[in-house]
Amino acid sequence: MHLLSKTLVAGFICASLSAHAGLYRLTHHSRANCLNNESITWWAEIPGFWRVVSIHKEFYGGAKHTIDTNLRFSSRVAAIHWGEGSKDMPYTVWGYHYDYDYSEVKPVAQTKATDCQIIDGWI
Amino acid sequence: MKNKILATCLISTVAFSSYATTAQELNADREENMQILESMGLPRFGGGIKVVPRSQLGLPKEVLESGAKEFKQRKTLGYVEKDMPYASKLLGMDKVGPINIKQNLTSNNDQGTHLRMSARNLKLAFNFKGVESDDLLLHENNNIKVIGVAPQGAFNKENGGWSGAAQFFSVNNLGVCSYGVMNVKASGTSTMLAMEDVTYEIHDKATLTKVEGSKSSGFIYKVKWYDDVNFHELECANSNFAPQIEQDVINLAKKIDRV
Repeated sequence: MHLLSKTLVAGFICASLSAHAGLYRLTHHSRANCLNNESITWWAEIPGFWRVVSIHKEFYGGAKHTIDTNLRFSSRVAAIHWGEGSKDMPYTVWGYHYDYDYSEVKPVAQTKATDCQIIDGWI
Repeated sequence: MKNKILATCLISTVAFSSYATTAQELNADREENMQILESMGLPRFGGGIKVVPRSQLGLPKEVLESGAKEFKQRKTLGYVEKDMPYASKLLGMDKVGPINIKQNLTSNNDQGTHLRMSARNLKLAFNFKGVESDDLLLHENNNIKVIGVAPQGAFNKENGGWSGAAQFFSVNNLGVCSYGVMNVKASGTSTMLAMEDVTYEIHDKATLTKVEGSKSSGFIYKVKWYDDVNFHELECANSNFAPQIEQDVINLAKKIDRV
Protein backbone atom coordinates (compact mmCIF):
# COMPACT_ATOMS: atom_id res chain seq x y z
CA MET A 1 0.00 0.00 0.00
CA HIS A 2 2.86 2.36 0.90
CA LEU A 3 4.67 1.54 -2.36
CA LEU A 4 1.42 1.96 -4.31
CA SER A 5 0.85 5.34 -2.68
CA LYS A 6 4.41 6.46 -3.55
CA THR A 7 3.98 5.30 -7.14
CA LEU A 8 0.70 7.19 -7.46
CA VAL A 9 2.23 10.38 -6.06
CA ALA A 10 5.21 10.06 -8.45
CA GLY A 11 2.86 9.47 -11.37
CA PHE A 12 0.77 12.45 -10.44
CA ILE A 13 3.83 14.70 -10.23
CA CYS A 14 4.80 13.57 -13.74
CA ALA A 15 1.27 14.37 -14.94
CA SER A 16 1.59 17.81 -13.32
CA LEU A 17 4.82 18.45 -15.21
CA SER A 18 3.12 17.81 -18.54
CA ALA A 19 0.27 20.11 -17.41
CA HIS A 20 -2.99 18.60 -18.60
CA ALA A 21 -6.22 20.57 -18.75
CA GLY A 22 -8.67 19.48 -16.09
CA LEU A 23 -5.74 18.43 -13.94
CA TYR A 24 -7.49 18.82 -10.60
CA ARG A 25 -11.17 19.21 -11.45
CA LEU A 26 -13.66 18.76 -14.27
CA THR A 27 -13.10 21.45 -16.93
CA HIS A 28 -14.70 22.23 -20.29
CA HIS A 29 -13.26 23.88 -23.41
CA SER A 30 -13.94 24.74 -27.05
CA ARG A 31 -11.61 25.82 -29.78
CA ALA A 32 -12.11 26.87 -33.38
CA ASN A 33 -10.04 27.11 -36.53
CA CYS A 34 -7.03 25.09 -35.37
CA LEU A 35 -7.04 22.16 -37.74
CA ASN A 36 -10.06 20.72 -35.95
CA ASN A 37 -13.14 22.42 -34.51
CA GLU A 38 -13.98 20.85 -31.19
CA SER A 39 -15.47 20.96 -27.71
CA ILE A 40 -14.18 18.83 -24.88
CA THR A 41 -14.90 17.83 -21.29
CA TRP A 42 -12.13 16.29 -19.21
CA TRP A 43 -10.80 15.51 -15.79
CA ALA A 44 -7.34 13.93 -15.82
CA GLU A 45 -7.67 10.23 -14.99
CA ILE A 46 -11.11 10.64 -13.36
CA PRO A 47 -13.82 9.16 -15.59
CA GLY A 48 -17.52 10.02 -15.51
CA PHE A 49 -20.70 9.73 -17.60
CA TRP A 50 -20.45 12.80 -19.83
CA ARG A 51 -21.92 14.03 -23.10
CA VAL A 52 -20.71 16.93 -25.22
CA VAL A 53 -22.57 18.58 -28.10
CA SER A 54 -20.47 20.91 -30.25
CA ILE A 55 -22.33 23.29 -32.59
CA HIS A 56 -20.33 24.76 -35.47
CA LYS A 57 -21.20 27.66 -37.74
CA GLU A 58 -19.32 29.37 -40.56
CA PHE A 59 -18.54 32.85 -39.30
CA TYR A 60 -19.99 34.62 -42.37
CA GLY A 61 -23.41 32.97 -42.30
CA GLY A 62 -23.91 29.38 -43.27
CA ALA A 63 -25.88 26.59 -41.66
CA LYS A 64 -25.04 25.15 -38.27
CA HIS A 65 -24.19 21.52 -37.75
CA THR A 66 -23.71 19.50 -34.56
CA ILE A 67 -21.17 16.96 -33.38
CA ASP A 68 -22.63 14.83 -30.59
CA THR A 69 -20.52 12.42 -28.53
CA ASN A 70 -23.65 10.81 -27.05
CA LEU A 71 -23.19 9.50 -23.53
CA ARG A 72 -19.70 8.19 -22.77
CA PHE A 73 -17.96 6.94 -19.64
CA SER A 74 -14.47 8.40 -19.88
CA SER A 75 -12.06 10.93 -18.38
CA ARG A 76 -12.00 12.78 -21.72
CA VAL A 77 -15.06 13.24 -23.92
CA ALA A 78 -14.46 15.25 -27.09
CA ALA A 79 -16.83 16.30 -29.89
CA ILE A 80 -14.46 16.82 -32.81
CA HIS A 81 -14.96 17.72 -36.46
CA TRP A 82 -11.63 16.55 -37.82
CA GLY A 83 -10.00 18.92 -40.33
CA GLU A 84 -12.87 21.42 -40.37
CA GLY A 85 -10.76 24.13 -38.73
CA SER A 86 -8.20 24.08 -41.52
CA LYS A 87 -10.66 25.35 -44.14
CA ASP A 88 -10.36 28.92 -45.42
CA MET A 89 -13.70 29.88 -43.84
CA PRO A 90 -13.50 30.75 -40.11
CA TYR A 91 -15.95 29.08 -37.75
CA THR A 92 -17.63 29.82 -34.44
CA VAL A 93 -17.82 26.82 -32.09
CA TRP A 94 -20.18 26.44 -29.15
CA GLY A 95 -19.81 23.57 -26.68
CA TYR A 96 -22.62 22.27 -24.45
CA HIS A 97 -21.48 19.91 -21.72
CA TYR A 98 -23.65 17.48 -19.72
CA ASP A 99 -22.98 15.44 -16.60
CA TYR A 100 -25.00 12.27 -15.85
CA ASP A 101 -25.33 10.36 -12.61
CA TYR A 102 -27.89 7.92 -11.17
CA SER A 103 -29.15 10.75 -8.94
CA GLU A 104 -28.73 13.73 -11.26
CA VAL A 105 -28.77 15.06 -14.80
CA LYS A 106 -26.92 18.35 -15.14
CA PRO A 107 -26.21 20.72 -18.05
CA VAL A 108 -22.91 21.74 -16.47
CA ALA A 109 -21.10 24.20 -18.76
CA GLN A 110 -21.28 26.20 -21.98
CA THR A 111 -18.17 27.13 -23.95
CA LYS A 112 -17.61 29.25 -27.04
CA ALA A 113 -14.61 29.83 -29.30
CA THR A 114 -13.84 31.82 -32.41
CA ASP A 115 -10.13 31.16 -32.37
CA CYS A 116 -7.53 28.52 -31.64
CA GLN A 117 -7.06 28.74 -27.91
CA ILE A 118 -4.06 26.69 -26.97
CA ILE A 119 -4.53 25.69 -23.37
CA ASP A 120 -2.61 23.45 -21.02
CA GLY A 121 -2.17 19.95 -22.29
CA TRP A 122 -4.61 20.17 -25.20
CA ILE A 123 -3.68 17.18 -27.32
CA MET B 1 -14.55 71.52 -38.58
CA LYS B 2 -18.31 70.89 -38.86
CA ASN B 3 -17.59 68.19 -41.45
CA LYS B 4 -15.13 66.49 -39.08
CA ILE B 5 -17.69 66.42 -36.25
CA LEU B 6 -20.35 65.11 -38.63
CA ALA B 7 -18.00 62.38 -39.90
CA THR B 8 -17.12 61.36 -36.33
CA CYS B 9 -20.81 61.14 -35.41
CA LEU B 10 -21.54 59.12 -38.53
CA ILE B 11 -18.70 56.68 -37.87
CA SER B 12 -19.79 56.28 -34.21
CA THR B 13 -23.39 55.62 -35.26
CA VAL B 14 -22.35 53.04 -37.85
CA ALA B 15 -19.97 51.38 -35.39
CA PHE B 16 -22.64 51.27 -32.67
CA SER B 17 -25.33 49.90 -34.97
CA SER B 18 -23.00 47.19 -36.31
CA TYR B 19 -22.15 46.21 -32.71
CA ALA B 20 -25.87 46.12 -31.84
CA THR B 21 -26.52 43.87 -34.80
CA THR B 22 -23.69 41.57 -33.69
CA ALA B 23 -25.04 41.38 -30.15
CA GLN B 24 -28.49 40.60 -31.51
CA GLU B 25 -27.02 37.93 -33.74
CA LEU B 26 -25.18 36.41 -30.79
CA ASN B 27 -28.39 36.19 -28.77
CA ALA B 28 -30.23 34.74 -31.76
CA ASP B 29 -27.43 32.18 -32.19
CA ARG B 30 -27.61 31.17 -28.52
CA GLU B 31 -31.39 30.83 -28.64
CA GLU B 32 -31.17 28.79 -31.85
CA ASN B 33 -28.59 26.54 -30.14
CA MET B 34 -30.94 26.01 -27.20
CA GLN B 35 -33.67 24.93 -29.60
CA ILE B 36 -31.28 22.49 -31.30
CA LEU B 37 -30.37 20.98 -27.90
CA GLU B 38 -34.02 20.73 -26.86
CA SER B 39 -34.86 18.99 -30.14
CA MET B 40 -32.19 16.44 -29.18
CA GLY B 41 -34.04 15.81 -25.90
CA LEU B 42 -31.35 17.45 -23.77
CA PRO B 43 -32.19 19.40 -20.59
CA ARG B 44 -32.14 23.17 -20.88
CA PHE B 45 -29.40 25.37 -19.41
CA GLY B 46 -30.67 27.88 -16.86
CA GLY B 47 -33.55 25.62 -15.80
CA GLY B 48 -32.91 25.96 -12.04
CA ILE B 49 -33.07 23.11 -9.52
CA LYS B 50 -35.76 20.52 -10.18
CA VAL B 51 -36.44 17.56 -7.89
CA VAL B 52 -38.33 14.89 -9.84
CA PRO B 53 -38.85 11.11 -9.76
CA ARG B 54 -35.86 9.25 -11.17
CA SER B 55 -38.04 7.96 -14.00
CA GLN B 56 -38.33 11.56 -15.27
CA LEU B 57 -34.56 12.17 -15.46
CA GLY B 58 -34.40 10.49 -18.86
CA LEU B 59 -31.35 8.50 -17.76
CA PRO B 60 -29.69 6.30 -20.38
CA LYS B 61 -29.80 2.53 -19.84
CA GLU B 62 -26.12 2.19 -18.85
CA VAL B 63 -26.44 4.85 -16.12
CA LEU B 64 -29.62 3.20 -14.76
CA GLU B 65 -27.99 -0.23 -14.70
CA SER B 66 -24.78 0.81 -12.97
CA GLY B 67 -26.71 3.07 -10.59
CA ALA B 68 -29.16 0.33 -9.57
CA LYS B 69 -26.23 -1.97 -8.76
CA GLU B 70 -24.57 0.77 -6.69
CA PHE B 71 -27.84 1.51 -4.89
CA LYS B 72 -28.02 -2.10 -3.65
CA GLN B 73 -24.44 -1.94 -2.38
CA ARG B 74 -25.13 1.26 -0.48
CA LYS B 75 -28.04 -0.45 1.27
CA THR B 76 -25.97 -3.45 2.34
CA LEU B 77 -22.42 -2.07 2.80
CA GLY B 78 -23.11 1.62 3.45
CA TYR B 79 -20.96 2.54 0.46
CA VAL B 80 -20.47 1.76 -3.22
CA GLU B 81 -17.72 -0.81 -3.67
CA LYS B 82 -15.47 0.34 -6.49
CA ASP B 83 -11.87 1.22 -7.20
CA MET B 84 -11.50 4.99 -6.67
CA PRO B 85 -8.23 6.37 -8.09
CA TYR B 86 -9.50 9.80 -7.05
CA ALA B 87 -9.21 8.78 -3.39
CA SER B 88 -5.48 8.09 -3.80
CA LYS B 89 -5.09 11.28 -5.81
CA LEU B 90 -6.81 13.38 -3.15
CA LEU B 91 -4.90 11.71 -0.31
CA GLY B 92 -1.65 12.59 -2.11
CA MET B 93 -2.62 16.26 -2.53
CA ASP B 94 -0.80 17.48 0.56
CA LYS B 95 2.46 16.26 -1.06
CA VAL B 96 1.71 16.98 -4.75
CA GLY B 97 -0.11 20.31 -4.23
CA PRO B 98 2.83 22.40 -2.97
CA ILE B 99 5.05 21.03 -5.77
CA ASN B 100 2.51 21.96 -8.45
CA ILE B 101 2.03 25.44 -6.94
CA LYS B 102 5.81 25.98 -6.93
CA GLN B 103 6.11 24.81 -10.56
CA ASN B 104 3.56 27.38 -11.70
CA LEU B 105 4.42 30.32 -9.46
CA THR B 106 5.54 32.43 -12.43
CA SER B 107 2.67 31.39 -14.71
CA ASN B 108 0.42 34.22 -15.85
CA ASN B 109 -1.83 31.90 -17.85
CA ASP B 110 -5.32 32.64 -16.50
CA GLN B 111 -6.74 29.68 -18.45
CA GLY B 112 -4.26 27.20 -16.97
CA THR B 113 -5.87 24.48 -14.85
CA HIS B 114 -2.94 24.23 -12.44
CA LEU B 115 -3.17 24.67 -8.69
CA ARG B 116 -2.87 28.14 -7.15
CA MET B 117 -1.99 29.14 -3.62
CA SER B 118 -5.37 30.85 -3.06
CA ALA B 119 -8.50 32.00 -4.89
CA ARG B 120 -6.92 35.45 -5.16
CA ASN B 121 -4.52 33.96 -7.74
CA LEU B 122 -7.40 32.58 -9.81
CA LYS B 123 -9.33 34.66 -12.38
CA LEU B 124 -12.93 33.92 -11.49
CA ALA B 125 -16.25 35.14 -12.87
CA PHE B 126 -17.73 35.09 -9.36
CA ASN B 127 -16.85 35.56 -5.71
CA PHE B 128 -15.52 32.29 -4.28
CA LYS B 129 -15.50 31.86 -0.52
CA GLY B 130 -13.27 29.02 0.56
CA VAL B 131 -12.81 27.57 4.02
CA GLU B 132 -10.09 30.04 4.92
CA SER B 133 -12.45 32.98 4.41
CA ASP B 134 -14.30 32.12 7.61
CA ASP B 135 -12.23 32.76 10.72
CA LEU B 136 -14.84 30.99 12.82
CA LEU B 137 -14.60 27.85 10.73
CA LEU B 138 -10.82 27.85 11.01
CA HIS B 139 -11.06 28.47 14.74
CA GLU B 140 -13.50 25.61 15.26
CA ASN B 141 -11.43 23.37 13.03
CA ASN B 142 -7.93 24.54 13.83
CA ASN B 143 -6.77 21.26 12.37
CA ILE B 144 -7.60 22.45 8.81
CA LYS B 145 -4.63 23.09 6.54
CA VAL B 146 -5.32 24.71 3.16
CA ILE B 147 -3.37 23.18 0.23
CA GLY B 148 -4.49 25.26 -2.77
CA VAL B 149 -7.22 26.20 -5.24
CA ALA B 150 -7.85 24.98 -8.81
CA PRO B 151 -10.34 26.11 -11.44
CA GLN B 152 -13.29 24.04 -12.60
CA GLY B 153 -16.04 24.56 -15.17
CA ALA B 154 -15.25 26.78 -18.15
CA PHE B 155 -13.18 29.91 -18.71
CA ASN B 156 -15.06 32.78 -20.33
CA LYS B 157 -13.17 36.04 -20.82
CA GLU B 158 -16.40 38.03 -21.38
CA ASN B 159 -17.82 36.78 -18.07
CA GLY B 160 -14.59 37.58 -16.21
CA GLY B 161 -12.95 34.17 -15.88
CA TRP B 162 -13.67 30.64 -14.63
CA SER B 163 -17.24 29.62 -13.74
CA GLY B 164 -16.13 27.35 -10.90
CA ALA B 165 -13.37 26.69 -8.39
CA ALA B 166 -12.33 24.04 -5.90
CA GLN B 167 -10.26 24.41 -2.77
CA PHE B 168 -8.15 21.55 -1.43
CA PHE B 169 -7.38 21.18 2.26
CA SER B 170 -6.49 18.52 4.79
CA VAL B 171 -8.39 17.95 8.01
CA ASN B 172 -6.93 16.00 10.92
CA ASN B 173 -8.82 12.74 11.58
CA LEU B 174 -10.91 13.23 8.42
CA GLY B 175 -8.48 13.08 5.47
CA VAL B 176 -7.90 15.35 2.49
CA CYS B 177 -10.90 17.25 1.14
CA SER B 178 -11.92 19.41 -1.79
CA TYR B 179 -14.69 21.97 -1.63
CA GLY B 180 -15.91 22.81 -5.15
CA VAL B 181 -18.37 25.46 -6.30
CA MET B 182 -20.03 25.97 -9.68
CA ASN B 183 -21.53 29.44 -9.93
CA VAL B 184 -25.00 29.25 -11.44
CA LYS B 185 -24.94 32.66 -13.16
CA ALA B 186 -21.44 32.30 -14.64
CA SER B 187 -21.94 28.73 -15.87
CA GLY B 188 -25.65 28.70 -16.73
CA THR B 189 -25.78 25.31 -15.03
CA SER B 190 -29.00 23.75 -13.80
CA THR B 191 -29.92 20.35 -12.44
CA MET B 192 -32.59 17.70 -12.23
CA LEU B 193 -32.31 15.59 -9.07
CA ALA B 194 -33.85 12.20 -8.34
CA MET B 195 -36.26 12.76 -5.45
CA GLU B 196 -35.59 9.20 -4.22
CA ASP B 197 -32.03 10.26 -3.28
CA VAL B 198 -32.50 13.88 -2.21
CA THR B 199 -32.30 14.84 1.45
CA TYR B 200 -32.32 18.37 2.82
CA GLU B 201 -29.51 17.92 5.35
CA ILE B 202 -27.53 21.04 4.49
CA HIS B 203 -29.66 23.89 5.81
CA ASP B 204 -32.83 22.64 4.07
CA LYS B 205 -31.16 22.82 0.66
CA ALA B 206 -31.49 19.90 -1.78
CA THR B 207 -28.62 17.56 -0.81
CA LEU B 208 -27.07 14.36 -2.17
CA THR B 209 -24.64 12.20 -0.18
CA LYS B 210 -22.61 9.18 -1.26
CA VAL B 211 -19.59 7.14 -0.20
CA GLU B 212 -17.60 5.25 -2.86
CA GLY B 213 -14.37 3.29 -2.70
CA SER B 214 -12.56 0.16 -1.63
CA LYS B 215 -10.05 -0.88 1.03
CA SER B 216 -7.25 -0.91 -1.56
CA SER B 217 -7.94 2.48 -3.16
CA GLY B 218 -9.45 4.35 -0.22
CA PHE B 219 -12.88 6.01 0.03
CA ILE B 220 -14.46 9.26 -1.17
CA TYR B 221 -17.13 10.79 1.06
CA LYS B 222 -19.20 13.11 -1.10
CA VAL B 223 -21.80 15.73 -0.19
CA LYS B 224 -23.45 17.91 -2.86
CA TRP B 225 -25.89 20.68 -2.11
CA TYR B 226 -27.64 23.22 -4.27
CA ASP B 227 -28.93 26.78 -4.03
CA ASP B 228 -29.88 29.44 -6.55
CA VAL B 229 -26.44 31.08 -6.47
CA ASN B 230 -24.03 28.13 -6.35
CA PHE B 231 -23.90 24.35 -6.68
CA HIS B 232 -21.58 23.02 -3.94
CA GLU B 233 -19.60 19.79 -3.61
CA LEU B 234 -17.52 18.61 -0.66
CA GLU B 235 -15.43 15.48 -1.16
CA CYS B 236 -13.17 14.00 1.50
CA ALA B 237 -10.80 11.09 0.95
CA ASN B 238 -9.99 8.64 3.74
CA SER B 239 -8.28 5.26 3.69
CA ASN B 240 -11.10 3.70 5.73
CA PHE B 241 -14.86 3.46 5.70
CA ALA B 242 -16.83 4.41 8.81
CA PRO B 243 -20.35 5.87 9.17
CA GLN B 244 -18.92 8.39 11.66
CA ILE B 245 -16.61 9.81 8.98
CA GLU B 246 -19.64 10.24 6.70
CA GLN B 247 -21.42 12.17 9.44
CA ASP B 248 -18.31 14.29 10.10
CA VAL B 249 -18.12 15.23 6.41
CA ILE B 250 -21.82 16.22 6.42
CA ASN B 251 -21.19 18.35 9.53
CA LEU B 252 -18.23 20.01 7.80
CA ALA B 253 -20.45 20.76 4.78
CA LYS B 254 -22.95 22.45 7.11
CA LYS B 255 -20.19 24.65 8.54
CA ILE B 256 -18.87 25.55 5.08
CA ASP B 257 -22.37 26.44 3.87
CA ARG B 258 -22.71 28.85 6.76
CA VAL B 259 -19.85 30.97 5.35
